[in-house]
Amino acid sequence: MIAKSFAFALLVAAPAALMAKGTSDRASDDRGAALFAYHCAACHGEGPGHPGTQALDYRDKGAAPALLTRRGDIPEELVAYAIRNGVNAMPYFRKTEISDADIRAIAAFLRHPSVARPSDRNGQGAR
Amino acid sequence: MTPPGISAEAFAAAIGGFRAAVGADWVFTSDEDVGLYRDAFSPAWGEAEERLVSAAVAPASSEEVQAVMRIAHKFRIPIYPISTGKNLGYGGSAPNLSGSVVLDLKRMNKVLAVDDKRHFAIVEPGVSYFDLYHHIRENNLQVWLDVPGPGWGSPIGNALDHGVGDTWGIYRNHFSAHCGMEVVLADGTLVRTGMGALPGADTWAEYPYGFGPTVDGLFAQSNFGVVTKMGFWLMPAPEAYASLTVSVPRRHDLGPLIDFTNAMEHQGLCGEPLYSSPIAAEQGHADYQALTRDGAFPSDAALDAFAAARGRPYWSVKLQFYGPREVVAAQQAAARRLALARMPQASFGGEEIIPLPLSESDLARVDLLAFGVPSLQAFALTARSPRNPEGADGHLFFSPIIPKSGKAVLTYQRVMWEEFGKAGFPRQIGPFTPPNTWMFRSFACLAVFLISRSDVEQNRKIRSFFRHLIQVAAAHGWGEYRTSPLFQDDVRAAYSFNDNALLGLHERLKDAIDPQGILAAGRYGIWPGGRKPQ
Repeated sequence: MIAKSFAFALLVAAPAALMAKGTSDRASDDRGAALFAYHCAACHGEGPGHPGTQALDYRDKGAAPALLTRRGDIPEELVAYAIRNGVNAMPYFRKTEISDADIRAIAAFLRHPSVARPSDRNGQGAR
Repeated sequence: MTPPGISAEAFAAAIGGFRAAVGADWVFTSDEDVGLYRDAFSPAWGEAEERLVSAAVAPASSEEVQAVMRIAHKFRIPIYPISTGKNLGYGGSAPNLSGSVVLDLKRMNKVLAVDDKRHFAIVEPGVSYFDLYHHIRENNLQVWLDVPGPGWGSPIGNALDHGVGDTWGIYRNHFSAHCGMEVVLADGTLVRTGMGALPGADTWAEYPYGFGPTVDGLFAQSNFGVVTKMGFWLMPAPEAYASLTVSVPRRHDLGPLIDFTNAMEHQGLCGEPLYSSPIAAEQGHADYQALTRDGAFPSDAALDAFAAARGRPYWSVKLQFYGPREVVAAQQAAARRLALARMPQASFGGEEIIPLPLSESDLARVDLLAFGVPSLQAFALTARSPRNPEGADGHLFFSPIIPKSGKAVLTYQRVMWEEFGKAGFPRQIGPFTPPNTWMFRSFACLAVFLISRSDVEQNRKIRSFFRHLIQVAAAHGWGEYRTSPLFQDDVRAAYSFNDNALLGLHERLKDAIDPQGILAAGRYGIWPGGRKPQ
C-alpha cells in the first residue's frame, strides 16, 4: 500500500523541475523510444489489449492521459520506481532485462515523447 | 543471505569465481538487485514461506554456464536457473530452496535459426516470444509461432514448464513441439540430445530422437540440467483462418458436444476448440440469483429452464481452422454436417473466413493468441479495471487436468462449487464454467486467485485453500499440470501411485546426475537425497 501511494503521489505531483523539458540529444531519445517500444508498449500502448493503459485510464478517469507517451510529466524517479518495484500486475524488471541506463533513457524519452512515437513493437503487427 | 549450509567464506569464494567467469557486472549480490528475483506475484510475499534468493549470476553463453556450474559444483552452491523469469502465476523467478543463487539466462538471447522451408526454430533461453515473433516478421519468414498468454515468456522456459498455447494441436503443447536440446549438467558437462548429439548433423530441430534412449523429458519440470539451446517445430504460415460456432441448448448437451469436438480435433480437422456458456452472461439476472440463493448447485432442469427462458444456448464451442481457403471452407461445411448428424438440436453461428496475413483491421478485433501473435493482454486479468477496481498485485493459477468428457466437466463444476462455497471464497467455478482446451488430449480447468502484497491474511487463506483444493482434486483423479514452487511438494505428493514410485525414480536419477544436489533443489518436488531441508 505504501508503494502504491508513493507511486500515485509522484504521478499527481511531479516536481516542476522534473517536468521541465530537457535538452537530451536525439540519439538518446531514439534509444529511449526503442526501449519503451520493446519493454513497455505491449502493456502501455494505444488501443484495446493494453492492460497498463486500460488500468491507468480506469484509475485516473481522464485526469491525466492514460497513455504514458502523452504525459510528458513523468519524473525519472517514478519511471525507475515502477520498473524496479512494479505496480499492481506490472512486475518489477531485473537488471538483465532493463539496466539503470535503460531506465534513464526511457525516462528521458517520456519527458519528450513527441520526439518519436514508438510503434507498438511488442504486441502488434500483421501476421 | 547465504545459501543454506554454505559458509560465508565459501560463498564469497564462489561469488568471486562467478565474477571471473561472467564479469563483475553480471553478478548481483546487493539486497536491491537480488530482491528483483523475488516472485513478484508471490502469494507468500514478506512471509517466512516466501522463497528468497542469495545472489544472481547472468552468463552470456553455454561456455559461461558451464563455468558457473563448475564453480557451483566446487563450492556446493545451490543454483536455480531461469530463462526470462516471467513464469508469473507459477512462481516467477524465485527458487524452491531459499538462499539459492539464480542462474539468470536472460542474456542468452540469440535466435540461432528459423527455417521457413523445413519449419523450425532453434533459440537460446533468454529469447522471448516477442523476440522470436519479431525476428520472423522482420525477416519475412513464412512460419507461425504458438504463444502462451504472456509474450515476454521464453519459448524454452515455457516449454520446460509444460506451457501451452492456442493454435493447432501439435504446436499448442510446447514441450511436445520441441525438437532437440543442449543441456549443461550440474558438473558442467555439455550434452546435446537427439540429432544434436551427432556432430555436423543439420537435423537438430527435425528429428527428435537421435539414437538410443530419449532423455529430453528429464529436463522439463525438473532439476537435472540447465537447458541452453532448444529446437522447436513451427507451423507453416496458413493462407486462411476460419471459424464456426456450434451451440447446443441444454446443460447435458455438453457431453455430445465434447464428443463431437474431440472427434474433429483428434482427426486433425480443427485447431483449438474454445468452449463457452452463452447463458453465463445472464448470471446477474434475478432468476439465476434466486436459483443459487441458498448456495446449492442448481438442478439441471432449473438451469435448462433458465437458459431457455433467457433465449440463450447453454453451451457453445468455437471451432477454428487453418489452411488453404477452399480447405477451411470445406472443413466448416463438414463440421456443420457432422455436428448435425450427432446433435440435431445444434445451432450455428460465428461462421467466417479471414484471409491471412491479418489486415490491420482484423488484427484489432481478433483473439491474437489464435493467430500466434504474442501480447500481454492476459494481464488484464489482474490489472485495475471495473471488475477489479483496486487492481491486484498478482495472480495464482490452480490448474488441474481433467478428462476430455462432458461428465468430467460437469462433475468438476459441482465439486469445485461446493468447495469454494464451504471455504467462503467466491464461487468462480460454477454451472457455466467451460473447460480450458490448450492441451491437445486433455482438458484443464483453471481457477485464478488474485494476490495482494499487503494483505497477508488473505494470502494465507488462499494458500491454505489452494492446498486443500490440490487434495480434493486428487481424490477425484484430477492433478495439477504445473504449479508454483510453493505448492510443488503438495502436488507431487498427490502423484503417489505404488507408494510414490515415480518420485522415487526421479530421486534416484537426481542423485545419480547431480550427486551434490546443487541444481534447482526441490523443483517439482525432487529433493536431493529425497530429503527436503527443514
